[in-house]
Amino acid sequence: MAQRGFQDRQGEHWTLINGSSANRRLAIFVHGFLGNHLTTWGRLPELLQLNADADPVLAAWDFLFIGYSTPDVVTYLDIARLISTQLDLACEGRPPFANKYERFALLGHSLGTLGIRQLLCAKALHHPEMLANLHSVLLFGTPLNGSRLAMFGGLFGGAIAKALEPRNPQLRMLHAWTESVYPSMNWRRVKLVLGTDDQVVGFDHGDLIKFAGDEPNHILWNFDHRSMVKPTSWETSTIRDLIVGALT
Amino acid sequence: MMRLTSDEIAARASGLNTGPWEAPTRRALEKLAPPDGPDRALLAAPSPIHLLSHVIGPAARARARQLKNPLRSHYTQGPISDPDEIAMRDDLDQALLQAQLYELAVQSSYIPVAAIRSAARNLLVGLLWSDPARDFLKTYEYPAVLMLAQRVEVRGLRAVRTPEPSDRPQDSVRFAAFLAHINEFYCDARVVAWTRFMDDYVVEPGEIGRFIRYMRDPKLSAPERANMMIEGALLFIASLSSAFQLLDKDQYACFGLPHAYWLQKFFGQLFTGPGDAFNPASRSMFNWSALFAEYLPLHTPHVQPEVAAFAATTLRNDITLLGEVFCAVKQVVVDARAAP
Repeated sequence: MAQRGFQDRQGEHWTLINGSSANRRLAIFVHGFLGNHLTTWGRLPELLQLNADADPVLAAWDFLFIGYSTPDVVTYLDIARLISTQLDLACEGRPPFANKYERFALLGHSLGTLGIRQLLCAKALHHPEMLANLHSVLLFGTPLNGSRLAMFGGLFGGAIAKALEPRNPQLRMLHAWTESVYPSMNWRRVKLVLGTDDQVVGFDHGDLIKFAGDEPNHILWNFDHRSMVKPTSWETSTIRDLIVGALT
Repeated sequence: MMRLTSDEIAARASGLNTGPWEAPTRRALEKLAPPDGPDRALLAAPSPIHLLSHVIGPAARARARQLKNPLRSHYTQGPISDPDEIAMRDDLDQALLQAQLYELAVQSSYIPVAAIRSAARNLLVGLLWSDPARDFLKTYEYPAVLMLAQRVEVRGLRAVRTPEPSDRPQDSVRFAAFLAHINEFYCDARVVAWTRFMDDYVVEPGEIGRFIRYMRDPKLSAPERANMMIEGALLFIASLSSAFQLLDKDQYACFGLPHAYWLQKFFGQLFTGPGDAFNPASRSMFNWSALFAEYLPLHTPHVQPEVAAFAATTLRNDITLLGEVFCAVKQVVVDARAAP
């Protein structure tokens, strides 16, 4: 079985799983509250390393897992800037990337999805070719109305925890910002994956709260908040199917 | 092992050397190394190097004598309360974490042994040339350090079986994830505050007892740091479980070993096999895992009941996983002790 190599930069919080040929497509994964750039996704990175080259769709893609230290993040913009930095480098083919990428997909989990949403509407952060080259956006467990666990006994303080509370000002602002700029920017439709067992952000808000540019119907599976991004196997994995669907 | 470019090997070695353990390791080497430093010629030689070859001359013997008291067993030779002694022991522990990460990285084929051989030999000789430091290693049990010593041909420690580097490519990605977890674990001030609390570092008299009583009954007055400790403990559990979830069961022991000390503290028991003598230090240890599994739900009054129930179930599942890893680590430590 063909296996991919990977570049690991612990100090910079990223890992790039790249194919042996110079792929022109890059999927960027952004983790959520707490966790880190790899453990959040469970065995997904190693399953991609082992199996991507045998898959007709995934073989053309490289996979970049980026991360941040949650206590160091204050706003969604901080996460958006991290993604934007990597996108700039990838568009230009500058190190750490060995070649220019021409297509991009953004995949996020939980808080990471809000960083992606923020990037989409913050035009100042866009590489000139970013939106034109955006292939797809897939958001797992996005906090449409914040997180019900953000109030967990008043725990998990810090600025970004406030930005996860239900109806918090930062989230309301992001919603209005998206509403304002989507008609003129018109980025690729955003696919949402919600879980019926997701007690962290819920799934019922999917029917009540819409962000401009989201696909009208979200995908609903019997996932909880953590398991929805942690495939346990490759052959029978719904998560794999969702990712392949987003990258097709 | 997949072929790595020299740039990639250098980047991975840098990632292993520059975590939160970097400064403590440097300090430990300054405090513990032989007076004239490790013999550079011996370190660079391709041949085995013996730790005892550095105990030469009166200066080295005097340094070794100075280390005896600060590095004593706190289980059998009295508690450690002197801040300088505490700092030295913490630094040595972090330096030994660095050694364990080297070993795990090689076992996982994340990096070839040649890339860390020189640094590992420098670290092991610099730390473990003296009897008190080797006694510390024995008392607090670091089997992966013994494996590393054997792998890089540093003699003078107990011989152990050293596993071949993995030929499964996924293990190197798994190690990368584990390293990301370890970085996050030791960088998070809240987790560090919690581990220090488990290690009896308190800011007010009777803080631990008050905290336990408050956990059992939220109507009691909370110690000042109660919320910080709850938060730190939850992050401790979540971070460990997110790393351990990646593993196959037969990997629990080797990836759990770097956390062996904290797992003992969290589950309130030292590693003792059925035939071992009872260690009186176990008597004063507290089972934090049971406290959190049972009483944390009392501390979620602002959360919807179904969300609180979910959080409690998740927490218990995480603690169960930590318990399985604890048992696997315990088994490997007990087996290592019993080996001839």
